[in-house]
Amino acid sequence: MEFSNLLVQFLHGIVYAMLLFMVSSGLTLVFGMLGVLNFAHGSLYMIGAYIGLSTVLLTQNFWVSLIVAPILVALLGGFLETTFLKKTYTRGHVHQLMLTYGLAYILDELTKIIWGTESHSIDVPPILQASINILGNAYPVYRLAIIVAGGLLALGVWLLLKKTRLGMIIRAAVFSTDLVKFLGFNQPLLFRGVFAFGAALAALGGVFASPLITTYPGMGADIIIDAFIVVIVGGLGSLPGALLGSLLIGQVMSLGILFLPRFALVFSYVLMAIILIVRPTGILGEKE
Amino acid sequence: MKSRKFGAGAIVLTIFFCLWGAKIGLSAEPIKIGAILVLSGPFIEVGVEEKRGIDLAVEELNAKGGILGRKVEVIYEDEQLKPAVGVDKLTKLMQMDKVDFIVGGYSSATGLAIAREMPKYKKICIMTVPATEEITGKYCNRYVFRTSSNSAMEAISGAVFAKDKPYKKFFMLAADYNFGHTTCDIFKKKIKELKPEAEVVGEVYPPLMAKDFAPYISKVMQANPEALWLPLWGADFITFLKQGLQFGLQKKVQVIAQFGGYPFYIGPAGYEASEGIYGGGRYMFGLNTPENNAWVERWYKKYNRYPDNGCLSYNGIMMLMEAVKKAGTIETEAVIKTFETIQYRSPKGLVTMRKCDHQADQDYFWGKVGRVAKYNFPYVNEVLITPAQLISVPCEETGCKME
Repeated sequence: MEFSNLLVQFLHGIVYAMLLFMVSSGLTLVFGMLGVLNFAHGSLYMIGAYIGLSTVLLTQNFWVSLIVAPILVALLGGFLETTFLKKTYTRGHVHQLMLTYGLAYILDELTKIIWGTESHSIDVPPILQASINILGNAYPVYRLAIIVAGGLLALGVWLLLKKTRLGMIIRAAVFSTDLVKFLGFNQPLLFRGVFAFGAALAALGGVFASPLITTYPGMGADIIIDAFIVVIVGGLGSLPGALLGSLLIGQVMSLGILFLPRFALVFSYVLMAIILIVRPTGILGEKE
Repeated sequence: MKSRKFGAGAIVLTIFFCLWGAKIGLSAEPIKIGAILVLSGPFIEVGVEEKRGIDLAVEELNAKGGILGRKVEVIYEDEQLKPAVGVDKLTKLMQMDKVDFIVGGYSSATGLAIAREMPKYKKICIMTVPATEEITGKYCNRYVFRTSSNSAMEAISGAVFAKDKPYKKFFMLAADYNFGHTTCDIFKKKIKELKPEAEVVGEVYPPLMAKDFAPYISKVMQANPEALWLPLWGADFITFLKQGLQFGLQKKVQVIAQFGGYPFYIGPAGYEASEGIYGGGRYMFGLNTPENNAWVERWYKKYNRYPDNGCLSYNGIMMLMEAVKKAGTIETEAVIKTFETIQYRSPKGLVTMRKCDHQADQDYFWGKVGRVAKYNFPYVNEVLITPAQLISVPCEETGCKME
């Protein structure tokens, strides 16, 4: 096996990991704070991709869609949280699962009604269309840009949580919601904000994914499974866990394809099973 | 007491009206066809296209007074890409709607499930989309007729087309399920048979609905082949072309895509990603024959768009109804006899039903995709034909034993 081939597959793994991170970071934040396993998160990613698509068709500008889609999806997320999820916080996981599962179906059907069922594609933005030579292999700049964007995003979210007052409150709320409420913070607003922020991250992932992967109905359901594996492997509610889990799953898939393509798909599930046996809380998950 | 009397009266009256209605209906009772297509989910566009073809055929038949003086009527059901649902819908169509004929399934799995149920009902089912050769092979039965080509014929067609091109080193990439593996196995066998100096330097099978093809694309390019046999379809095919473009695959390797001739795939993939590839199709509306041009015009008038592969379901209905017309009855055994002899001059050319396995022989089409001034989407420059006799599978090799 040549080193350059290995390197290329490694990069592929990181690219997919970054897309996974954009989806799973929101998923894990929402779980950490609200205690909700949001099945509809994949749908928000898909709607983000579709809004990005419409924006690009309208403005012919990819960068605008990177701003428009997260904002609109954040608004949608805030709306969903206030109208539906809020009422289930006292009712436990089963109600929330049923609700978000139902929401996923509704959002998927709405997407089909609005955008139709055909697959769509948007072009890679012109300045990122080139390929660069990596040890004799052409590698698309856009993919490298996703790696950079994913890295910056991870850094940004980490700084937000660790270095700002808001982040401190959010972390406190993950630790104990009641405490934060009794300290006089606006807990409903905080919840809505975090849910909207998670939705925005998913939408960002959707927009980044559309020039790479076709935008199609069902793309949300396709990524949500992997995102759940990531969150379970990394540790439910842990943001560094989501990053680590994404990187692991990305590499497992990518290198699996290189060496044992027939079984590549199984590896991520095997990894999840091992983690669940050895460390049920996930690699970076906190003990209950 | 009073209400019970009234109830009894109502029942008698209802029965009376039912009988009366049935009697009146009898004189002009339509020939009923139950069509089980995929009408939801990610492949809905294929189902909708299939429905368009059926609707056009039925409209034309009824405009000429129907068949045997009876109107033709179609009841649609959605198989939802689930064989169990397909079989449920078949039961419903048979027992509640009492249909006379069935158009069966979209996916190979559903098609096969429906085909194997047909002997129970002793009614005829036509297949216009499902392509697994088992339907007219290992699991063939006398009630099932496939009017479209099957995946074995199409893989052979790919080899027949590729052998005249100056390529020796082939790579194969297909989705990891029954269809993907069989079509690659057949292509590999056939290309070696037709062109002994050809070799397959590698093969890889990503899962259906792969999200990122990049690792597979790199694998293809690392093997350094001259041509790539690519029987992908649907969203997978579109994604693959788009991602391949980013890695320069299409420039380095000649792509030979089994379904690359359908606008509903290469359209969304875009000019850049599809230009220069060889694309195949069970039907191509660009086929320049008087029959086809006239048919495409009728289609365009009705739907204000070009057909993708809607000709296949159109052909299916037309062949079935020609068999009925020849038999002079809708009685199953009589129609089976006439159906086995049907040679139908379809828009795509002659389609000949075989008696041995109920598979229809027909041409498959290829072309080089590019910019065609007439259309605002990528399309083949010229429609090339791999003729039926070169791609047909000999009766004794199908594995079909018709009782």
